[in-house]
Amino acid sequence: MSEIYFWSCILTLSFVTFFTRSFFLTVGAKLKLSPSVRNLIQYAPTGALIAIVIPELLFEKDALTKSYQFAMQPVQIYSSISTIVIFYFSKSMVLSLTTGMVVLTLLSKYWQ
Amino acid sequence: MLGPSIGIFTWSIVLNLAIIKTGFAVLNTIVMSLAVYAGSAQLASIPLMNGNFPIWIIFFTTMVINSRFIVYSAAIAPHFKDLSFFQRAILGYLNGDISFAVFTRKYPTATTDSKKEVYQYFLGTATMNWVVWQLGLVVALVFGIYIPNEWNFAFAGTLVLICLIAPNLKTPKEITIGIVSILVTMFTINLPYRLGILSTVLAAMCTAFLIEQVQRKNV
Repeated sequence: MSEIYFWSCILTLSFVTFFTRSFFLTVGAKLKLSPSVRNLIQYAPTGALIAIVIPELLFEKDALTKSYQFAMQPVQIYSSISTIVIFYFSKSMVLSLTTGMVVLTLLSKYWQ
Repeated sequence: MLGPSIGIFTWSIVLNLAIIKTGFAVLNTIVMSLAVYAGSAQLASIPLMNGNFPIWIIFFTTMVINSRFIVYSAAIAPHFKDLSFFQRAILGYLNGDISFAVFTRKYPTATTDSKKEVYQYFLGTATMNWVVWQLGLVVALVFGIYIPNEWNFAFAGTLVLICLIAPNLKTPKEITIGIVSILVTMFTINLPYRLGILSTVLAAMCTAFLIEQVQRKNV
């Protein structure tokens, strides 16, 4: 990663984050978002986050071709399930992350 | 306020550790945390940056992931329309997931509290979140070297994202959107430049739109 590339990325990320977080507070202060658009936008993050997480759970990256091959990752899947279950009942991110990491560590050490 | 703070603190440690473990330089990690200050966007762009993807892909991916913030800003803007541009810009920089969630829990709709009080509440809680987040970075930097790579700590970042997704998948409608998103991700995963992310986002929004149309017809 070159210096120029790094700083361009940081500038891009900072700009996009500031732009989106402040949009209706600054540049778009005079605009009104139609309720139907506002309603649909709320599903965008769920889609984006799922698209980021799924490759870690259901795919393997081929080192040579850099393409993803379908391959269930049981250790990661069980770790995720335990995290969701604990999060559902305890509502505590700390507790559920700890559980998920313990499950991940134990399974990858003693099972695989 | 303690609950969210502990959440932010751990999330910051986990996320920054995950970033460092991908081979990101210490100084770069600090710069990123201070300038960008957006956990999920950072997490998503790190693999792209490490892979030297074109800037427009990074622009696009973070735009998509951050699109929720536009909605947040629309929701809080009515409270702050009398403030100066500079003050509103500061609030915008601090308007992250947790700050927004904490603020809207106290002020879900218009309020009779004085404008100054509302402003100070947002500024106070959001600034504290910022400080706690940067403290998490310090802890990650100091203790990161003691954590062996075999621990697969980077996966903790994925688990944080899962904790953010899970509460959004409760109603049958949301679960349907989730299942469609997973399927579309699986079929678009090998598209160039991570365009699978955009495909999935569009599919999620289209599914929501279609379900609402069907529901409206049945009413």
